Amino acid sequence: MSRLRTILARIGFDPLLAAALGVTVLFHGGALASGSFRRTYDAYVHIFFADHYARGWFQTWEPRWYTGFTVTSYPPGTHQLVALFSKFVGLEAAFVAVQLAGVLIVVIGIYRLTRLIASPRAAGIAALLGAVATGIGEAVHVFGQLPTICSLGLLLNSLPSVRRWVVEGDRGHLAAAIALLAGTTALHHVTTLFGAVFFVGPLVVHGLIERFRTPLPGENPSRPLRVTRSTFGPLAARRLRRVLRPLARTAVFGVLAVAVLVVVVFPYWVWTSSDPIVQIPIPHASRDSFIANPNAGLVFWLVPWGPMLLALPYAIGRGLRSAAWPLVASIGLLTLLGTGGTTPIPRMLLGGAFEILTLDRFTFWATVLILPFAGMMGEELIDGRLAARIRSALGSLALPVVQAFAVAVLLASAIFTVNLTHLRPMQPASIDPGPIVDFLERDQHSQWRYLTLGFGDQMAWLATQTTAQTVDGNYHSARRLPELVSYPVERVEGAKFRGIPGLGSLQQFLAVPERYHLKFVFSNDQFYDPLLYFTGWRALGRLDNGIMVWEREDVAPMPAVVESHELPPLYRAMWGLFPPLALLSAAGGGYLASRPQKREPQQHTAAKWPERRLEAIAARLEAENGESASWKQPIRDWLSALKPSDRIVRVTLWVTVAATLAGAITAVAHRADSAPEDAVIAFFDDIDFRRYEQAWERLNPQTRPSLADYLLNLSVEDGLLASYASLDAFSILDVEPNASRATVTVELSYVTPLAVYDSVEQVALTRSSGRWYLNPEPSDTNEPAERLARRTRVDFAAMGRLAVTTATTEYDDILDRPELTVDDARVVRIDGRPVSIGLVTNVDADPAAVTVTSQLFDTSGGVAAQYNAATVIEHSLLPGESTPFRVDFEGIAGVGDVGTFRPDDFVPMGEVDGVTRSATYVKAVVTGRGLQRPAVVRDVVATATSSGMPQVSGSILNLDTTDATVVAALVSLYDLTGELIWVDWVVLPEAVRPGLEKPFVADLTAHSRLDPVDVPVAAYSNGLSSLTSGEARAGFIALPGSTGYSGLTIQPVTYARSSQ
Amino acid sequence: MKHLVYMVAGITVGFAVLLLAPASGQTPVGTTHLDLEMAPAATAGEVLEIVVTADLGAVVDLYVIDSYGTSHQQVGVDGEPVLVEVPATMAGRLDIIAISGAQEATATAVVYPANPRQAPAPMIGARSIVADGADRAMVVVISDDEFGNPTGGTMAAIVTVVHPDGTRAVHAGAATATLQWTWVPSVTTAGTAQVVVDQGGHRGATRTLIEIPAEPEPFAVEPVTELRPADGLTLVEVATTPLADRFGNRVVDGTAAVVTARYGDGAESIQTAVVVGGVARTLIEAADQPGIVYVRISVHGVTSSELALEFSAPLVPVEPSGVSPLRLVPLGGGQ
Repeated sequence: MSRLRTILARIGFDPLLAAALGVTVLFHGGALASGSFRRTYDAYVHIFFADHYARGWFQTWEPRWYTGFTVTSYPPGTHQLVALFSKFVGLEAAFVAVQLAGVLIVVIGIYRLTRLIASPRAAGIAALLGAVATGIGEAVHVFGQLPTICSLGLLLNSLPSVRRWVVEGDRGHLAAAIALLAGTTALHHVTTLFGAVFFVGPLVVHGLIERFRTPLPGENPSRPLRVTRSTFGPLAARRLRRVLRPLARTAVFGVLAVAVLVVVVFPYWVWTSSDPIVQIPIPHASRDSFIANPNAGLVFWLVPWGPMLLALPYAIGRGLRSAAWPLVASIGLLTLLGTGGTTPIPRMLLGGAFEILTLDRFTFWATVLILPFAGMMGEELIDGRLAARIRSALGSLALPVVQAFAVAVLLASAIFTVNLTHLRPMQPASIDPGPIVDFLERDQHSQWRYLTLGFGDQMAWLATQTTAQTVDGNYHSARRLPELVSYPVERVEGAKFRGIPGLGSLQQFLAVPERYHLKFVFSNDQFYDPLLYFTGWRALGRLDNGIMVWEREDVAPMPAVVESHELPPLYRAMWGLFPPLALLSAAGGGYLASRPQKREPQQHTAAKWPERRLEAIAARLEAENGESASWKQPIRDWLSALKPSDRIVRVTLWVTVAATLAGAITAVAHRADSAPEDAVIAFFDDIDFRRYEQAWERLNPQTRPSLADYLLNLSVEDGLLASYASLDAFSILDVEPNASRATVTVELSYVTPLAVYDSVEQVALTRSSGRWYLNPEPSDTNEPAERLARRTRVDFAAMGRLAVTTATTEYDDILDRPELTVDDARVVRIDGRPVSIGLVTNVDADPAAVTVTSQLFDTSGGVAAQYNAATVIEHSLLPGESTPFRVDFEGIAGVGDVGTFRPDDFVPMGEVDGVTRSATYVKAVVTGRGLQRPAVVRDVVATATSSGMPQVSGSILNLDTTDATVVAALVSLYDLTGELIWVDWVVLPEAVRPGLEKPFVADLTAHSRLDPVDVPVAAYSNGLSSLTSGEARAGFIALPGSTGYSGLTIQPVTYARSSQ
Repeated sequence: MKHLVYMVAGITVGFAVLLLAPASGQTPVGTTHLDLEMAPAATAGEVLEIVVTADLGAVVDLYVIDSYGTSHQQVGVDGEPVLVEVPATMAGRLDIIAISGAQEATATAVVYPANPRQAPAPMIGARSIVADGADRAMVVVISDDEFGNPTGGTMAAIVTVVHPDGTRAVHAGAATATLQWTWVPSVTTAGTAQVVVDQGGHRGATRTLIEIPAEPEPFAVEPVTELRPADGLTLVEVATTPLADRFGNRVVDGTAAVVTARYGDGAESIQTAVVVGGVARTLIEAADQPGIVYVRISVHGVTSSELALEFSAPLVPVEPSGVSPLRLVPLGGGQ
């Protein structure tokens, strides 16, 4: 070991640094090689970009995401490096290699930065701490931040050269610094930008302060006892003379740094200035209040800081007492900015940028910038002042214990951080993209666009495997489609994880898929199934990897030539050549930066006018003897008088701990269902988080079923609320307590992919043994009429796509269109907003997958609005079957107030200026799917409520052999003249099992809200004019005339999960 | 410092190379006279020979304009007339414009389609027609040559139809400039007809035309289950009489039949059944009070006569389940 140390010392390499690099290779390299990056947020995004450059180094247009985007929106350095290495080892291994190299460069950079303000030993310890720092570990193994890590490495390595140029004027180091900054910019320009403020700036100030305090060779040593009017000028001139040259060198460096920042990624700046897309900022938990959102505080603050939090007071105390205070100030500012929305200060400091930046990067930089001080602290803990204090306070045996404990905490926190994605998975389970790629490549499926749901960041990995295109993407800055940029959603496919805002965008893609040639959805999350089904998508089946494929029929493939926005050749050449050249120059810069230090000049010659003038002024200072009185002394005396005694500190500490414990115990004791509303809140909390045993324990022990019965009853529940919903809001409206019984009125709001369900429920409670229990709801005792149900059915299979052929499209697939008639089509305003409604019948002998599109024309004769019937229609029609439809002309989701979005929210298309006519187009292809009709609507009674509102009640009976998972009903309302005037859509929140029924009551739309629009309406079926006056009103049920309606028809639409 | 200078110099040179790279191509040289000769007509697949005459050393820009668009080539003239060959593939007009200096010359030819490459498959619309002897579908034949040019009216097309009843009908296509077409009337037997086209001695692929039954004749609903207790639970089977149009064609399997049942208390039940084997069959849930339930079934807009189903008191009264109804509100459209 000592021999190795000797060899390392001989070649000028610090053994501690070598150890740090070894730890880095073992620790980070091992984790990366074992695949930790696969579970991170961003790794696959960077791999996708690398794949782009591997496929075409000089291409700047990437068509696979967002219907195409320009890759100059992100600096390419790391991606080009991975692309280069991928030619030899593949994309994933190349990513691992570049990421590991980045961490190694960061560790070296930490060492070199620390050397500027501390001893080599402290620098070695800082490098070791960097190797196991949780901030770096999280950035690499949780976030997968390749460019951030690599660029930080080059930036840190540039700092000694910057300082040497500014302080010593070494031109070689200027070249090194600029070259390293060029590399930094090529990897990630944001690091250069912010690095200049938080890393370079403080270091330059640190150097200037040093020069400010250090007399120049040959300088007049005179020092006056007091600063007077006569001595102030010469004193100031003398100080100014010391920093005049460093200031000039700083300016030179600044100009060159800006030039490098502009030139290296010039096409990026062009894109920034020319991209016309204005995007709604995407919410990021790093901007949340970490008190209101403790999970965000854990991930974006506590984990990255980790043990370094202990070093923060040391850094402040030590740094503020030294010339390194600018670095400490930078750490303080970064720490403050990293707290996100916990305080209003970051928002005030950053202004509009607050909503754009992800603030965790500030915390990350703070945790790196503190490492030099942590290195100094470590050095003191080994055998310095800290060690001496521990020895004197706790005895000599305590020191090794404290040291061992510190090492254990460091290692434990590092291991915890690297395995955080194991302990708390942030991505769905690994998905094998192979079967999906095979599917896309088969039968020319890649000629349509696809969408993934529930893939997380693995959608980027899938995208690297195929040339097929998706309307979604995983790089939100490049979003271009209006449905995406107007919504604060990073990816459509992960919309539900941000609450629900993305469902608005998703609904629009699903409702009008032909706009983007979207035909296939790969779903890894059944949450979206009802939405897919009711918007006309049909499940094709599961692939080998368990992914469900959904298809929308009758969507045209993409044109042979798709839009491309490649940049001019000059920009493409710049983008393909400059960043790699910058990285090459950075390598040269690294070599230059490691040259031995230039000797300080012994004489300072005032060559230029300003210096000569300052020298002359400083020379006026007359020599005075004696000690000068420091102006700081009175403040020091005042502060020492304020210093509390050790006893006061100890007492305060103990009182604080005792008060905290007492408060916590009181809070826990108070929560034990001492009030009826607490018991209700706890019960619904348990139900929402599926803690069914705890929920059962909150039921009245006298009347509750056995646990087995309770769990069995829960297990047979299905439907929209039981399987596709989460409790979004819960509030207590009223409490009526007495001694032993209470009734709590609660308002519940469930979010599902189709609708938000608000319900008001009255919960009865009983008090027993000093605790409140909920009285259980009576269970449904209905039994099916038959012990064994047997049904005759007709199955269909459309063979067109199953034909074994290499032809692009089968002739019959295009023209084999069932005949439809449009029996009714009209325009109605509801609350002033135009809506198209009507009735379509399949008069063919084959079942039909129907698409209904309506247009409104304004006074100028142009199309003012166009949209499809989304959920208010039966998309699959049996021969001879009819369906009402309603086309809600919808604008782009998210244009309104996004904060109040609900799944059933509607975005009006904007004011249609005088509808003059309307056209409805229906088209169909033969289908074999979605043709089960298991639901019977029975006991239907149409009435008027006491307030005159129309209402329909009845029950849904399932006569089929499979569960009716989600049942919706299309309710067509007819006015007093017998004309169709409105179509309502209601959804049953619970599933109906075979042979059973569920009663319902539905409030219908008030007639007073409707206003028929008397304009000409044309209808076209499969492109031919078709508007019959056929009556498809079997099952007409009369309504009281006081409702404004003559009657209604009701038609169930059923999603049966097991048949999909 | 010199490293920095080298770096900046390298980048500058790179820029200069990119910016100053000259455009490739020849600088045209003019002529005092320019002449073009070309055959006035050709068949697709032939090569059009163009003779260009100009001064010695002249460079002539030739622009070929056809339905594909415009293509360009340069010809150098050495004093003798130069023969330029232009393949003619796209039927229609083909223009040649020659430019050299201030001189310009033009020539025009007509390109005719070549022979059909194979007998085409017919296109049929509507794809299904009513088997009533009156409805009809149009059969369209679009034949093309190997270059994709429609050969339309140049060659007669014979459309042969074998109807579901076995009869064979032959129709001669009426020609237009680009296609041939004919009407094919239905017969009164429902089923699938086969359609083929003969053209130029070749027979194309077979396509199908569906001849579907017309709307059914009036029909009735009959009970199948005899035991009908008013327990609100028992399922009672009812079925239509055979559903057939006036020519005896059975309604096809899978056709929707809307079943409505009106109970004694005024409540109604609505469900969709499907036709199997020419009969629509379904289950009606028993009334929960003794009395009569009226059942009707509609198929293709034709509604049956009303069936009165009588339900008698059950042996054991059935307790209501007591489950409160689910409250629903209209969704979608921002309500």
